[in-house]
Amino acid sequence: MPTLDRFESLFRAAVKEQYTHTDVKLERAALITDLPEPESRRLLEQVRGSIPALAATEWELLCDGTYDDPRGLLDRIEALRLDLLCSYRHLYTRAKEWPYSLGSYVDVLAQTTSMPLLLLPHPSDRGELQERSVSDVLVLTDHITGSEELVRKAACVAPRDGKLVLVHIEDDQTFARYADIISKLPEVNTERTNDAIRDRLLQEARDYIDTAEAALTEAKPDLEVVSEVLMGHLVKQVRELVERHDVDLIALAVKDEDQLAMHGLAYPLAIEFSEIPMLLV
Amino acid sequence: MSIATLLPILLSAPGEHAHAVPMSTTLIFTGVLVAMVLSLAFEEKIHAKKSMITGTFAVLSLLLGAAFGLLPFGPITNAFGESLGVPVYIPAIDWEVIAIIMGSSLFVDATSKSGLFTYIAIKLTKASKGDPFKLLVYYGLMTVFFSAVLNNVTAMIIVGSLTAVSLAKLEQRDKLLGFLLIEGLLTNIGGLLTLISSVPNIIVGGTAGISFVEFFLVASPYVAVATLLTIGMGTWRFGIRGLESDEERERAARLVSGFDELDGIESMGFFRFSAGILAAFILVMATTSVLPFVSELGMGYVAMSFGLIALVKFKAKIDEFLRAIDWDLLFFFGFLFIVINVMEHAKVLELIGHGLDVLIGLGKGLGTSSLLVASAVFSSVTDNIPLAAMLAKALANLETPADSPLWWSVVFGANLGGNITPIGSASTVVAFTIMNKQGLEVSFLGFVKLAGLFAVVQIILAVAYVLGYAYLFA
Repeated sequence: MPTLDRFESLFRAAVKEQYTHTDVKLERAALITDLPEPESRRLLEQVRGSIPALAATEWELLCDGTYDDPRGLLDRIEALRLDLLCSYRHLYTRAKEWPYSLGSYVDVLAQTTSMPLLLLPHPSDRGELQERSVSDVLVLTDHITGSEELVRKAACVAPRDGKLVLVHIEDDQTFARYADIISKLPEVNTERTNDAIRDRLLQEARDYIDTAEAALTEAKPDLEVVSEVLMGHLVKQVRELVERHDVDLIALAVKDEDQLAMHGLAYPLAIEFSEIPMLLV
Repeated sequence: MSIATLLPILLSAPGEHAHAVPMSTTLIFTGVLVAMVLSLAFEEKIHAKKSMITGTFAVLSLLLGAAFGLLPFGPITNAFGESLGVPVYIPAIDWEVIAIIMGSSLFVDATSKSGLFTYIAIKLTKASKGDPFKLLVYYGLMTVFFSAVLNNVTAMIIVGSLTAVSLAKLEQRDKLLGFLLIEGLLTNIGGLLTLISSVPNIIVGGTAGISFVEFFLVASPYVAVATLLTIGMGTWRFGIRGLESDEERERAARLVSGFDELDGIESMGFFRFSAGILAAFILVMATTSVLPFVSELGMGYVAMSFGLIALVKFKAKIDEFLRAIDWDLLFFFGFLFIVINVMEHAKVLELIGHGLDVLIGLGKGLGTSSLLVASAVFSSVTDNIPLAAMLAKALANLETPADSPLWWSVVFGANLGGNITPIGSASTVVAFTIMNKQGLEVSFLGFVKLAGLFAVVQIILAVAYVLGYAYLFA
């Protein structure tokens, strides 16, 4: 006899998350630096030149502050009503020789503000970055179906004729842990269950990306949208993708719902790819 | 050979196996029968499955029957005059009913894996564009259709699970109780549509010798009216209305567009095959009584054949489907038929027949109505299958003609009684289960309060309909 649970599963599976595109407006942004003003202005011009989508944005330059702690900076940002923050690693810290963190100010900016943060590599003392024009944007998630806002903002930053690589990576180590538990449950068919879970995880991501591709192609016909749905080691896979697609910017979701810590996926990647600009949403 | 003639032992007229049974013995066996019916009514309280309950009473009845010398031990002679040595309880079982249920279960289980039923259900959901009123109408009609062509339990499982998912998606969970209740009630209305839609239909229709087409022609006008009335009352009782603003309609349409009706279809070939075989199943069932050779083999043969044909795709793993058969239900029937057979030998059914005589003696109108209402009331508190089986045999023993409205009183009463309480039928049990699984926390009495008005209206309508049938056609 057909069971209730079977049909509930079938109908739940038939409900597909769909990406709906709305244009995000980045009208007001602020560049936060700990450099003197002339170097800060040079850096700002470089940012505007390298990301065409931000050329028309009205910019504030916050380079004159001395803060005892990030709270003072946050108060100032909130008063400005911004759509985007821009800064770089190790802001207001002298830890750039220790590349295992982003610095306390950046941590706070990434997690507690409501607007996205464009995180640049650390500039030289002259306020210069390595010349790079952002063309190919990689949107990286381990849960693409819940990342609509990330895709929208990444699509906004990508140039009109650029490339947007939508990536969903299932961490194989996490999967292996669950598979190990499944293999110890005598009432469950191990091989069939593992295959079913793996297929479903990847299929849901593919289905969602298909809807995103369709919506983005309609809204931005010249933007190339590429799909990458994978299972594997997170950092290794991202490194390979970055090389293969010659990525200029990585978009990551960092806002943790509980504001306890930066989203688990984001922090190690933000540390690992220190030479690539990142959009932290 | 028709169903009626396939039940040689169960349907034998009183004179055929006439033997004297003291009233005291009959009363002892009546006590056993009452105990079984009460045990089934309190199935949940005693934490025992139906098959365990009827099995226990079958063992007890056979032992008592043997002890009192009531059982017809000895060989059975078939149509060719061959003498067959079979245990006394084997011919007691109505194998035609068992074959119909087992074959239909296999058929539904196999074809449901094609994604056909989920496809139909999701297509209708999308056609409603997420409008709650249209959704209720479509789901209501779908419930009746699935109850009629599959069975009412499967119909409730499919439509109920879809309802929970779709209303959550549409953010209309406040309407879930109303939807589930209406659907639960409609399973028993849809269960009236064809001879194979519910077990009481199979038993009563088979005993009376009513053909599939005849059953459909008599029952369908009532089903149509009762369905519309139930949906109409439901929209009023639970305040289910259409969306008013364009904005609401646009949003709802966008939300339901996320349903993918093709998701559950693994093979388009098997999907088309299942659609074709379902149509063929209904057609062959409807024409069994006139098809050469097939009419001799009966509907059980048809159901089993189609079950096996549907399983061809899964031939390498047919054991999984066999394990998934509801063996509790099948053993319940088997043991029940044994108990009823012993009760017949103990003249308990004759005693019930006397009671029926009293009801029937109230006159054509009052007798027919009383039998329908009494059947409904008893069905609401205990399983309608033993009731239908006992009443059908009692009516057969009274040599009730096939066109008598009394058969329809039992059919309507046994099916509609299931709508009075959450334990009245297997499909309302499923509806009740889904309600509580979804956190709606409906109590037994809460269900009765909600469903009571609907059930009363449906039963009044059925009484009027059966009386109309009695006066116009019988």
